[in-house]
Amino acid sequence: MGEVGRTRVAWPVAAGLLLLTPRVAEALPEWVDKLELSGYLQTDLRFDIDNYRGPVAGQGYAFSLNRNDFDLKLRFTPHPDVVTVIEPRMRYYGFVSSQTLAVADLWNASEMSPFTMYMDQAYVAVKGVPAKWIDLKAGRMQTTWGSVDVFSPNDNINSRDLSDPLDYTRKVPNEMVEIDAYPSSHLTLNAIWLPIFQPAWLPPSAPLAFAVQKNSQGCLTQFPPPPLTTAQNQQLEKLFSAVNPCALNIPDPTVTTYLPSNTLADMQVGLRARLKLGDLDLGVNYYYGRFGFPVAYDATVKVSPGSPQTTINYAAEVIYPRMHVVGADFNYSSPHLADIGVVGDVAVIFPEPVTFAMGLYENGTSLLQLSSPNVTGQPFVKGAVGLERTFGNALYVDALFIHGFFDEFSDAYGLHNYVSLTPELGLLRDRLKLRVSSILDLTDLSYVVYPQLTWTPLPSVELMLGAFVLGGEVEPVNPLSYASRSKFGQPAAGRDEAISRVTVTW
Amino acid sequence: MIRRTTVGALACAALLSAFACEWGEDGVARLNQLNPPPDGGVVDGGATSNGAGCALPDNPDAGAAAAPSTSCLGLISGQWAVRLVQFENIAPLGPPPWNLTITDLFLAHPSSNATSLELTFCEEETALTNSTGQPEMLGQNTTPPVLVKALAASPLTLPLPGNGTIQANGVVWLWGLKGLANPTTDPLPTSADAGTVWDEDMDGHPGVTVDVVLPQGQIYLVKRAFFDFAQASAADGWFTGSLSSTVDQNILGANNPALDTTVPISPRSDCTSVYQVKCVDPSFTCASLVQGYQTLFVGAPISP
Repeated sequence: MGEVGRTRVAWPVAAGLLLLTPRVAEALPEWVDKLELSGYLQTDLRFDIDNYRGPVAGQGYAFSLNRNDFDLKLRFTPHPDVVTVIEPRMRYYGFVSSQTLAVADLWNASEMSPFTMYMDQAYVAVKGVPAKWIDLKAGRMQTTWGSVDVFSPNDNINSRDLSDPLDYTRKVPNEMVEIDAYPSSHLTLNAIWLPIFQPAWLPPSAPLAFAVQKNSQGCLTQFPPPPLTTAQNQQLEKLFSAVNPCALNIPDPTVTTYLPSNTLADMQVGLRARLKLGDLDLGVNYYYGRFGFPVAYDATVKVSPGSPQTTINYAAEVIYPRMHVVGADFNYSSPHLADIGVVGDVAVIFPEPVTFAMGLYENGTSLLQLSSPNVTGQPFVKGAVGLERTFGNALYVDALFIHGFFDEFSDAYGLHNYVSLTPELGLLRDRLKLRVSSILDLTDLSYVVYPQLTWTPLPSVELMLGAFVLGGEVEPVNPLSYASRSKFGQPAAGRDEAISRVTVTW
Repeated sequence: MIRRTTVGALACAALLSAFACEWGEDGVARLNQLNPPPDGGVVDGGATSNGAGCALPDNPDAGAAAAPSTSCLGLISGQWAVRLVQFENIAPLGPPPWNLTITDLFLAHPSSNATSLELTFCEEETALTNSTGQPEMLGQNTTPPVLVKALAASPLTLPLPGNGTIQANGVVWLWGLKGLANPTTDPLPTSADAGTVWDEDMDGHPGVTVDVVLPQGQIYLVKRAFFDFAQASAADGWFTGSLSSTVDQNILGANNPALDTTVPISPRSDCTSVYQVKCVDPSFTCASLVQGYQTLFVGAPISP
């Protein structure tokens, strides 16, 4: 019966397809010309090569991730002056980190092999509307401003996607409208309007910044210092000093965002002008919006005395302060400068002041309330300047000095200075590449080293072996100071990992 | 150098008003939104939520006071300005009673072992309103400087519970009394020749001498105040809490016969007396406190 049923249904469908076939055959060449496909397939395997940076010491030397990305970018040009870009990305995880799964879920692919669907781009661009020298773009986009890669303080339109710290160039796509004007061949003007704020995505290790430290017996050894003054944190410490640290039950802290509203008051705008003068590229820009990374806003500590243990619940909120950014950037590369490329970005940021407050409550009664300016509201400067040069055909070197990492905002943590050095050696006509990305925090001497060996056996196929290694003080140098956590040494920065990656692009 | 406010104003002017130039995120307000005080009031800022006629002696036009000094380390070190606001009833002409607000001002320092606060007296202000709510000068007291100096010489000790906050019961403050076998329960002397009467201000009159504005004169009295300090609500540089006070005094004499009558003082049932403690700089003096107490405590957290 089933076979018959299917046959009965299939006939009309087949007939319909036959009727349509001539039209499709006619349209196909025209549409194919208007469609471009590109993308990649990437499979990534990670292995934790440290044994002390996880939530609990001793969690290491194990596979931590198998991730498979399928990215497909469609560029469709229905009219010479109209371009539509759609770039979905499917991400499948090869395994889950938990060793315990509900037996009832063993049939469920989303539990056994979790997947996510991303839409990295989805926009339409119209050229020459409303004037010949104006282009319009609208939709879900990723825009980069500034001259310095990754560390430009002028690059604020899209927040960063640091959900995978090894993939640190990614951005969070956002809905926006962009007007690009070309009044002359040397001058480009851009105006961007973003109705909705999208916060940066953070690595899975980020909550460790708020984690309480316990010893192997589960006794409290260290509370994460909030962004209060050292004297205030000392006051807090004294409050708990009389308590037996083993008599405290402290569940994992909860940290939630206090996101801006979706009203007109919280929209963002950007204006930019770029001038090209021979080998020199100059830009000035203005941005009003939110800082994409959160700063600490408030914390509630609820004490519930009990026997044999007193329970302490810690709930914190983070916020995305508003800011005005006025910046400039340049990019210069010329044979007159020994083929050295020079790039630079500087931005003056006028931040919204943020006062951090912390309250201790016992059974609903306020015991103590402390507050301190976390962001003072004073303008501050972030910047980056760098050199790049290719030596012969094999060696490329990129060096940067950075004042203020992209996630730093002159809050109680402060702005650090960094040096980044990235040599890349190409061998066998670039079929084999050794690239070592490194950053040293000059303020606390923590560092990241990211060596990658990439082999391209055939065009469009890359095999990469690498390691991502973090160094620096793991614990705060001064447990009473919010600013004393090292940038890359603290566990919140992530794990040391070995990586193997296969990428096929088309 | 371009001032931040100038640039901010220019930026605001350049943008649509919808961009909200209201600037600043206050974690304290958010904290109080998330954890509203039991009385529904706002912990940080605003006047007391006492009933009508129970207003604190604040200057309503003063605006927000300066933030507490950051020179104090909990109740371990630093200097604190203390205000005890006691809402009482007194009936100098018989019923109905008048409202009497006594404001005692102190500068306080933690003891060397941080087990107590030592409160050095600076001034006492009193305000009288009659049953219709009108200010009254009849019976209004002032504290002569010599009495202030004498009382300051014997600081009031406020024991601390040791948990970083303030809570104390049965704190006794004596004026013109010495040698009471049991200071908390012994009856106050009624005559100048009692052995426990102490010419504390050393002016030759029994007990202590207080000036009366109307009818003008001086009264010689002994006084005992019992204070219970409820557990404080602590904020940054602040401790505040409700205060239970009982004031007994006996008039031992006066230079104006019209004043030579003891009039009982009783707590007002419709008001909650409060104590307020604010961290101040080491250079802050009693004179600064007396001059500025009506603005200094504006914005103090509400007592729980």
